[in-house]
Amino acid sequence: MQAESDDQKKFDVIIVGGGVCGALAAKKISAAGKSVLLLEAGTKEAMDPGQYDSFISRYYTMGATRGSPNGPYPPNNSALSPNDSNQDPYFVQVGPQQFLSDYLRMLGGTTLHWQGTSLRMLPVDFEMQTAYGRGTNWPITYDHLERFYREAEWEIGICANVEEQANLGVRFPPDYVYPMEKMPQSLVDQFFMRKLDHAEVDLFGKPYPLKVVSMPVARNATPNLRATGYTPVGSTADESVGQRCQGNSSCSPLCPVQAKYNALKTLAAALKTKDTHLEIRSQCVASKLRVNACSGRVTGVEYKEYSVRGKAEYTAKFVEGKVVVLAANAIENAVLMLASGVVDDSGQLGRNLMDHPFVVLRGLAPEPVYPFRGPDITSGVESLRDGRFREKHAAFRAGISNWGWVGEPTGSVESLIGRSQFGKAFREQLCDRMSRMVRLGVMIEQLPDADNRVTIDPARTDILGNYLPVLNYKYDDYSLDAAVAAIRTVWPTIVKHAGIEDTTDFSSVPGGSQSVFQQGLRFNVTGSGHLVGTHRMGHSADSSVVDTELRSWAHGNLYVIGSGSMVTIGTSNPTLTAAALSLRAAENILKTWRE
Amino acid sequence: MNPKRHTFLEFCVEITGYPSVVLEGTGVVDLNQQLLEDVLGSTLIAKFYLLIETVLALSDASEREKRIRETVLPSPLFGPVVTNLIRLWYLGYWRELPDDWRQMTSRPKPGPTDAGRTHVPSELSYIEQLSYRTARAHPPGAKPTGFGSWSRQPL
Ligand SMILES: Cc1cc2nc3c(=O)[nH]c(=O)nc-3n(C[C@H](O)[C@H](O)[C@H](O)COP(=O)(O)OP(=O)(O)OC[C@H]3O[C@@H](n4cnc5c(N)ncnc54)[C@H](O)[C@@H]3O)c2cc1C
Ligand code: SF4
Repeated sequence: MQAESDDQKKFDVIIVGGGVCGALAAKKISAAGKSVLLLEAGTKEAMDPGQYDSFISRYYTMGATRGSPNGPYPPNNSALSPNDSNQDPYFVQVGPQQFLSDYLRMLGGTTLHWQGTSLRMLPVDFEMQTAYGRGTNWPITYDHLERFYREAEWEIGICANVEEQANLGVRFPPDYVYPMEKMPQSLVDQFFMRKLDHAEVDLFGKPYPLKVVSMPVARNATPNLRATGYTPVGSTADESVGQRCQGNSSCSPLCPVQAKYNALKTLAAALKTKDTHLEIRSQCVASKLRVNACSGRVTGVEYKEYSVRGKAEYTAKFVEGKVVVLAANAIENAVLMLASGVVDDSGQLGRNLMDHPFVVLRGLAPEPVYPFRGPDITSGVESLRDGRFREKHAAFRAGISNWGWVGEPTGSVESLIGRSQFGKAFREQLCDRMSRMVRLGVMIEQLPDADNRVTIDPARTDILGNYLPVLNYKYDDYSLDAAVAAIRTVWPTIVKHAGIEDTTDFSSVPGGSQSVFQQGLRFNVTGSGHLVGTHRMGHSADSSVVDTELRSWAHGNLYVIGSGSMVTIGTSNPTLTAAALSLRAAENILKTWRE
Repeated sequence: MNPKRHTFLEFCVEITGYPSVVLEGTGVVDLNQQLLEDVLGSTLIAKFYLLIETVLALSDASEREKRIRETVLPSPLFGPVVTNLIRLWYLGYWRELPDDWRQMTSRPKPGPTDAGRTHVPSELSYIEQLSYRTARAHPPGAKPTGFGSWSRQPL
């Protein structure tokens, strides 16, 4: 069915996707006086304070599925989200391995349930091929992006310590401060800081310290006195709430007070701007870009608007725009471009899908460290983010969890019940065990691999007839060898120095993980929710999907933003980099207008 | 008020290891008792109260403990029920009793809204579960401990 434009209005810019990347671009472009339409596939429920509270109630009463990041959010078969047991399956997994990450299709996007860790990439991460003969160099350097990192840190609201990051090799201009001071480090962190003070590991003949460093996060903390004019942004429901993280310890899947950043905040601020030119249309799934065959320009976006979630009914619509920006995330952007027959001479569209393979290690500290309090990650073992070993295997970092073991307290309670414990003895043993739980989450770099890709299949569509993402995915030796180094070399060193009782057990495979075998070692790997690649940027049309401004090589008024444009993933969680790239693209879009 | 409320509460003190003032403070005593009565039905609940009254009649704490360990928990009829009560208090949810228990008691399989199904009875059940309190923490998303509290010893 060909829908005709039902809009009298032609927008300057149409943005597809109301997550952090779309929201930042929408705010910046609309503030410059351009008319912006944001199309959002999911509902806008999260913007409604009553509905947001209902997610919290749902979270409390949902029982066993509580652990899933999408759990508290109402299922939506009209705009599916992946890996959510409450709705139809979304990803078509071709293998050989499963892609175990998810995202959320709802206004606000995946930041509604992200953890908020907001590290910059290291300068060397942009030049992996030159430095270590691995991966691909970016067409831009760290220094091209530095100014936009700062802009993103202030827009999103990051709390962190410049010196600690600079010691890791991150470059800042003199006198720069993050808008908020670093998040107070947990008792668990303090335990590891004490114990690992002199710990080091040997990787390929070179010693590396195991340094525990505070984590930059997108959570409200004490404003930095030197950050003039910065006020933490509270909840969209009530600004006076959430101006500090109050330690609800549920950041993923949801922060009850929105002390953790989510994209709703940026959208709300943009909508509040006087004479705003931003319009948001939710429950509108973009299904195809319309392209003028002669000029190659994208004329607008076809979308399907549904009024009832989960019903196969929709109205087909079309809206015209002078510029179209895809900000639907790495997988959805690829699906939409493939569905639209977007020209891609490089053959890279949909390819190089990356994530951070994630390995969980756990144990019991020799003394109580009182986990299950505070935001999840306030520090990490960060000193293995770079080194000569990257010629041989991936870099990695190990986030220190403040939330004890996965599957708790059920695991401990069931084990005590199984041993017929009750009463005071039960209580004492549970306290002893839970208060000593420590867990490290090892996040491993993954190289771009053309075979890891998103495709579409006309036979696999959802109830509105939109394509399901078909995924080919595997881990390569470069990542898996790093996992082995983390398990065989780094973890035992930590265990020894900290006097930890190692309880890591790979004999069974928990839901959401998969078992792999490498160098004679069997272990479990899961995903990190970090979707990278699929529309990489580059110097030329024959090797990349977008140029250094994130503009499609073939379609001059189409921009494809977010972490899908990243060339490599490094060891930092990708959202801050994706946000910086999106802000840079927004600036370039405005610049073309002026020109 | 339920005439057996005191009996129920005192027995919960024995199996949870928490004094009654703490259990009362959760606000879910009545909810939990009602749930148990709905699951067991009038005949079984009467038998259950008789059994736990024999435990509570023992004046010595170690005797009560011994009786629970040796008589109540091994009971095919009431062992699984008491275990579930521990789950209810510590984890804030009720787990459907196993098939062989239902066969033995001729209780019907719970339907999607019946008390006996696996479910979290109320938001309060989640918020007040004893496990996190025991670990000197708090349930995720509820009872936040305040900015920076995680960097110090719990109160
Ligand atoms: C559990 C978890 C924890 C995470 N923790 C971190 C972390 O600590 N640090 C970090 O850096 N990153 C983290 N991430 C990743 C982070 O959440 C994402 O990188 C980020 O939110 C992506 O933002 P985005 O705007 O590109 O995409 P999204 O947030 O996915 O937003 C895309 C938007 O587009 C909409 N959309 C999709 N398809 C269409 C369509 N066809 N038409 C219209 N609209 C569409 C979606 O509904 C959605 O609103 C985490 C992810 C997960 C799953
Ligand atoms: S710890 Fe709590 S208050 Fe802080 S960000 Fe997480 S959920 Fe929000």
